[in-house]
Amino acid sequence: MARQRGRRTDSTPKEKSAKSPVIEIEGEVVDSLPNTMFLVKPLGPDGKPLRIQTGDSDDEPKAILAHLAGKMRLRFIRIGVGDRVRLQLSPYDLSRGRITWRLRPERMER
Amino acid sequence: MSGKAELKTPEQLEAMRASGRVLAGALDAVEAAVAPGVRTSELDAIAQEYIRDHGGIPSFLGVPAAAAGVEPFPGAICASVNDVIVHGIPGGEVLTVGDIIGIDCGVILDGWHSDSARTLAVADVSPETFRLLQVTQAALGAAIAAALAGRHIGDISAAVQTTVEEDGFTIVRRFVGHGIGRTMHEPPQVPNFGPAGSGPVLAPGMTLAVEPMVNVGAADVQFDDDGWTARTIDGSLSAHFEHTVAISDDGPLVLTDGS
Repeated sequence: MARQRGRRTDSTPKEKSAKSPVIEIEGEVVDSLPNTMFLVKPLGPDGKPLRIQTGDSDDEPKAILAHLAGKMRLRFIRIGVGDRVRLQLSPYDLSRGRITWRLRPERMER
Repeated sequence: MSGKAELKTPEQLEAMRASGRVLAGALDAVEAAVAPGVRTSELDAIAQEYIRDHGGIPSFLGVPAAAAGVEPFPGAICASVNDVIVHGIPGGEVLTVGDIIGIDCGVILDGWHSDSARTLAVADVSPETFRLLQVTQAALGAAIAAALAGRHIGDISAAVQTTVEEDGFTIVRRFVGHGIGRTMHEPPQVPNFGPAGSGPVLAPGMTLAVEPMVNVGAADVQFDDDGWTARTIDGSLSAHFEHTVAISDDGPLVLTDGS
């Protein structure tokens, strides 16, 4: 009986963690803008909206303006409204982010 | 996942070979029964009966699932028909001409585990299907030939990957082989892909379940709602061969070939 391998997707990209500090969170895409920019609603690990910016209200946090990471543009990863994504934020400006991963629906149920 | 592999003494290896002998007999009995019109649950019953008649315990029965909320495995064999890669649950499915069926089975005898699988053609299959079976079996052969003391797990991985990909098939990466002994799954993991020379060093007394899983189409996996059955994502055929192999100073010892 074959053994299931550990999930590789749980690891964070190595290049970044060594260089500059980033905050990694998950979010749900709420709007798709031109130039591969997206508005993303930040979500906590429990799937509930996450309040991260000062001035946010608990139930309606501000959406983050996020661009698609270069490696994802190269691979033509398509992102649409409603997709769950992994985001990297700069600790210096929490209103902008970088989408580094599209989470697959299959992964979320398991 | 982590930790060191237990090295077995020659006596312990003989005990594992005895376990493997029962397993090989059970697989032979199942193989003899595979024919059009047979249900996979009947094959499961044959394996269970053979194993118990020879003093063993079917080790797959009741194996807990890797995912939460999934029932333990209900059969003594995994019956993986056509596009099922591994872990098909035996049941009412009826074999027809042209099918292929992977039979994976495990035995515990005197506390020692053995694990082996083969993929069989049900009557006539197409030449392409036959080639899939041949290549997968050849990949297992290449893996065993690479299982030499002093070399690395990655040499086994690379042997499988090279054999399979040279023939245009793909290697399933979601599942891996594993160490085996007092339990079915022990360290180390034995991937079917990766560079030669990587991973832990193979030491005499290590026992590994080596099991290439090969798809005709894409390598990706999808699971049925039962939480076990793993299918190819594109419905293409998949084959699986496996032996329990011991590393020794005299070269690889196949413990599940019935000898």
